[in-house]
This record gives sequence, structure tokens and C-alpha cells, in this order.
Amino acid sequence: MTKDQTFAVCCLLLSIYLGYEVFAYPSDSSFFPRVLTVVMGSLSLLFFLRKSFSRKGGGAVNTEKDRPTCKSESGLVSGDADALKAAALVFVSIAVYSMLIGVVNYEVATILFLTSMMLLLKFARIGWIFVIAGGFMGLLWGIFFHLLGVSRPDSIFFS
Amino acid sequence: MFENMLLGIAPLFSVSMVLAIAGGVTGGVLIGVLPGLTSTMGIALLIPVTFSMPPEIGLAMLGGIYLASTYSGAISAILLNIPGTPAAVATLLDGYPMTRKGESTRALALATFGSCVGGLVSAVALLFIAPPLAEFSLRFGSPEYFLLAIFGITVIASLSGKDVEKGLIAGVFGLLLSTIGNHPMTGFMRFTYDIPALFDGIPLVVSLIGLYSIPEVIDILRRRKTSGRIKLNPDHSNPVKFLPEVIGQKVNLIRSSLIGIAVGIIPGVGCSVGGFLSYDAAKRASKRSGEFGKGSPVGVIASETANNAVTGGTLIPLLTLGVPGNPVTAVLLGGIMIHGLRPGAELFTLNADIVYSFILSLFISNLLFVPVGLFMAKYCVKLIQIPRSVLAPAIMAMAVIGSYAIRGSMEDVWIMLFVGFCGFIMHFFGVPRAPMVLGLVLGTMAEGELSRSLAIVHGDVGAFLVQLVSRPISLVILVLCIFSLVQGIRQQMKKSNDMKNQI
Repeated sequence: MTKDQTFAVCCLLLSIYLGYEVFAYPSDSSFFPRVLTVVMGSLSLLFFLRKSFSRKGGGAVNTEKDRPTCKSESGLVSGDADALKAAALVFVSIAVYSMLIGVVNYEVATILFLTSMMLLLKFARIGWIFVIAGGFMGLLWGIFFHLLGVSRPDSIFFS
Repeated sequence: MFENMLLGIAPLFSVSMVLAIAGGVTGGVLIGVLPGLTSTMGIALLIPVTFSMPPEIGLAMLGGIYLASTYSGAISAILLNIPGTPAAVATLLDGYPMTRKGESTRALALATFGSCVGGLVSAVALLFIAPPLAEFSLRFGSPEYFLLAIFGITVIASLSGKDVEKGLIAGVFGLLLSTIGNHPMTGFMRFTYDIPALFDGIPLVVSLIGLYSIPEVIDILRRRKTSGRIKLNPDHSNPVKFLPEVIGQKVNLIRSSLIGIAVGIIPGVGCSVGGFLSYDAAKRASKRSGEFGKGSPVGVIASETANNAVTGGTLIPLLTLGVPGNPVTAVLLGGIMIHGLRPGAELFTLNADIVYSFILSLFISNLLFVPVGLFMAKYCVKLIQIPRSVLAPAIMAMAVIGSYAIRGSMEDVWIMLFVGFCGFIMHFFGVPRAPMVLGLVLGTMAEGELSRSLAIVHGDVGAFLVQLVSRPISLVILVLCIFSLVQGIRQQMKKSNDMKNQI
């Protein structure tokens, strides 16, 4: 299955789930999302069928491309693995950072987050890491908590 | 109108306004110079900063970022052959060859002064076209506003990717996300799963931050290993001496500005198209068309004038009808809405001081990016070599604090992360994010107007559909929706035929 077909199937499943959910709501409060789920499901199906037929139509051109593999024309390519790794790093690190803010305070969590990310991403100038982390945290702190008057997030320690 | 304009002039002379514009322009130039940072992401990340400012100051700052980042993509395009923004791609064709000939200052000066002229002309157009158009929007009822929201999505979905279906699915998904929370008329909760943070729906700015910062950070990290040392070919002449050369190109400046404004008004077309169309027009009109692509100053002026003229053009449908022409203005619409303002006639009457102050601030921003841009160009190489291992964590930290700051809730950070995940999935599958942003931004308006239209006809869907085709303005918008879809499908078929022919 190609990347486009995978996307179409995921959207179709999502629209079925959302449709199941939304059709359980009273009709006067869910007319718009009901229409949207039907439209999304139909578009996903249409897209899946178009991609399936266009693959069959173009099959004689390049047998390598026609093979049901994740490395075809619109399937997974080598850059995708890097993207997935980078995505995992970003989501996990932000999740940990957000939880850390709730445990230690914003300032400590931000410095820990920035220094560990720079170390993890192999920033060459080790001596500068704490300066950059502290400076940037100070800048954000100054703009949001001092200048704009946003209240600091609650934390278990050092609040 | 002139009375309202006078109301808008007064706030421009406050210190905080000047500082906000200067900050916006400097930030915008930085964003535009750094490849990987887009105007959309910059504005999305900085909306929380403007949230607690008075609306006229916050909007002036966002306007400054928009104009300056559109212009400054040309700096890295000219000096380093790397377009900082998509808008600068046409500039690169002649700008970089000029740098290679040792004329980098001349190319930068032509681009800067051309951008300034394009931006100023488009701000004049915005000042005089927007108010009558806003007055015309008084004739719009609920069905027309509902169709306008749909039109915004169909036109962007049709033009922003190689598969129309993907764009439409993204738009519909954005609309679905906007339905999370209570129904605008009945108050019934949808898709909230008993999570209190979702009762009022997904906060627009939080979702914009997630949608535009997370996938960009992932992209920056993915490309981390590919950056190398960059060499510059500098010359140290005075940029001001090239001003007469720009002024001498009157026809080119006027033609490029008009092309840019026209392209900006049409939703979904964008700055890069404006730049290319103008470049092409200048090439056709030139007696020395053979010089284009080899370092023609006329080409640099044409593309830069047009792409900055697009900015004012895109703001015309945004401020009058609430239809953003591109992702940047969609995010800008989010910035306008969090200040409690609603585009349309109301904006030009009840909030005239704010909107005119915003429009007039664009003139200042256009003039201000000239010295800021020319000064910062000297440090372009240093800026561009900020390691991605510093840039990526900094953007993530800003995304977290920006999402938190909107409502002072850490739950919003998790919402930002969820929308960022959706944005990454879309980026991964090659789905354009612009239709989703439009869906998110226009969804509440679409559902509200649809509910009102249905309430007028007592919930009779058939009568509502009859209304859509029996009211002249709604019929026109409906035809435009269908036309944009047909146009998108035709382009898609043409592209796939071209690909088959190439094979």
C-alpha cells in the first residue's frame, strides 16, 4: 500500500469513528459535523479509489514502482525514517518538558530542557550551552511573566 | 472615511506603537532571513506576545512581522542562493547571479527599495479598496457568510497541493476540529470527552502554534546534518546610491505592484506566484530579456516589488470579508480574532480607530524595513549559521510558553502538542496544512452562520439549499466555489498527464 493509500484509509477510518460519535448527538446540535464526516469519508474513499486505479493504469511503465512496497513513488523513502525519529524526539521531549514544569518550576524545567536538548543534538560549544539556555530562559521569563504579566505555571517544588 | 483615518493616525505617534512596529519589523527580518522559519510560524509563535497588548499595537506588530518577513527572504536568496521564504524564489533567479558578479549590495538595494515601493502601493490600495468592499459586505446574510467560509477552503484546497482531495480532506478536518466544544446555538458539547479544557473548543492560537511550529521543528531536526559552511561574496558600496535606479524603473514598479495586489486579492495564490508572474511580465516587456536569469536588475525589482505588493492585496479580503488569502493571513486572522475583532463592515465602523491604525502602521513598517533589512543583511551569514541544535529547542520552548500564555493553562500545551501531531502527520503524508488552518479559523463562523440560516427556515435543509441558489450574492459565491474546485481538478489532471508524458 502506498503512502497516499495509507493516508486515505486512515482518513476513512477516522471519518467512520467520528461519524459514529457525531450521529449519536442530537441532530440540531450536530448537523454541521455530520455533514463534514460524510464529506470526509466520501473524499477519502474517492482518493483511495483514484490512487488505486491510477497505480493499476501506470503499472506497465515501471514494475519497481508498481510493487506493493513501502518504498514506491509515494511510499516511505529514506528521509521518512529520519522524519519519524525527529518527530519522536520532538514529541517526547516536549511532553517530558511539560511534565517537568509541573514538578520543578518553569525556570528550572526550561534550563534543563534547553541544555539537555542542545547536548542531545550535539551542539559543539559545550561552554556556551548554559549561557544560551539561561539567557533564552531569561528572555522568555522577562517577556511573558514580567512584561506581559502572565502568571507562572503551578509546580510541586520551587513554586 | 477620512474622519476614521484621522482616528487611526493618533495611536501611531505613541512610543509603544513605534516600539511594537520596530520589534515586529526586526523580528520579521530575522524570520525571513533564517531558512526553515516561515512567516506563518513566526506570527503564530508571536501572537501570544501581542495578546495582552492593546489591539492596535498588537496588530501593528503582527503586520510588521508579515511585511518584513515577506521582504527579507530576499536577503538570503540574493546573498546565499537560499530563499528565506517561498516568496523570494523568483528573486533568487537574478539576485544571486548579481552577487556572483560582485554586485550584492546593488541587488540588495534594488530588492529592498522595490519591496518598499510594492508594499507602499499595496497599502494605498488596501486603504482605498477595503472600506467600500467592507460596506458592500453589509449586504451579506448568514447564507453568504457560510458560503464565503466554504469558498475560502475550496479555493485554497484546490490550489495548495497536487491532489485536490488531500486539500479538501485537510479543510474538512480543520472544520471538524473547530466543532469541538459547545454548539454555538444549543450549547451541546461535542467531542469533549469530559475534558474541561475542550469545553470552549480548541483555542485557535494554540492550534496555530502547534500546526506551524512542531512540523517545522521536526523538519529542522531532520535536515540537521546537511548544513555546511557558507561563503559570501560581499561588496561594500553604499546602498542608497541605487535608489535613483529603482525610481527610474517606474513602469516596472507600477506593473509589478498592480500584479502583486491583484494576486493578493485572489485567495490561495500567494506571494511566490505574484513574484513569478511579475518577473515573467518584466521579462516579456524588456528589450534585453536575454539578461534575465544572468543577473538582471529589472528581474530583481519586478519580483520583489510584486511579492511585497501581495501583502496589502491579501489583507483586502481578510479585513473586509474574513477570507484569508494564504496561511500567513489565516494566522493573522487568528491574531485579529483573539483581540475580539471581527472582519467586515463592523471592523471599519465600530473599530475604525483600530483598523485604520493597523493599515497606516503598514506604511511605517514598509519604510522601516529598508534600514533594518539593509543593516541586518551584513550579518546574514552569521544569522543563517545559528546551529539548528540551538534553533530547534528555542522554538520548542517558545511554542510551550506561547501555548500556556493564552489562557494560563498547561492543558493548552497538550492541545498544542496534539494539533502539532496532526500537523506532522499531514506534513508526512504531503497534505497541505493551509486548508486545515482555514477550516480551523473559519469553522466557527461557518457553523454559526449555517445554524442561523437553518433557524430562519425552521431547520428545513431543502429550503436552505433553495436559499443558497435564489439569493444573488450567495449564488455568485456558490458558482465561485464550484469554479475553484473544477479549476483545481483540471490542474491536477494536467499535472498527472504531464507526468505520464515525461515517463
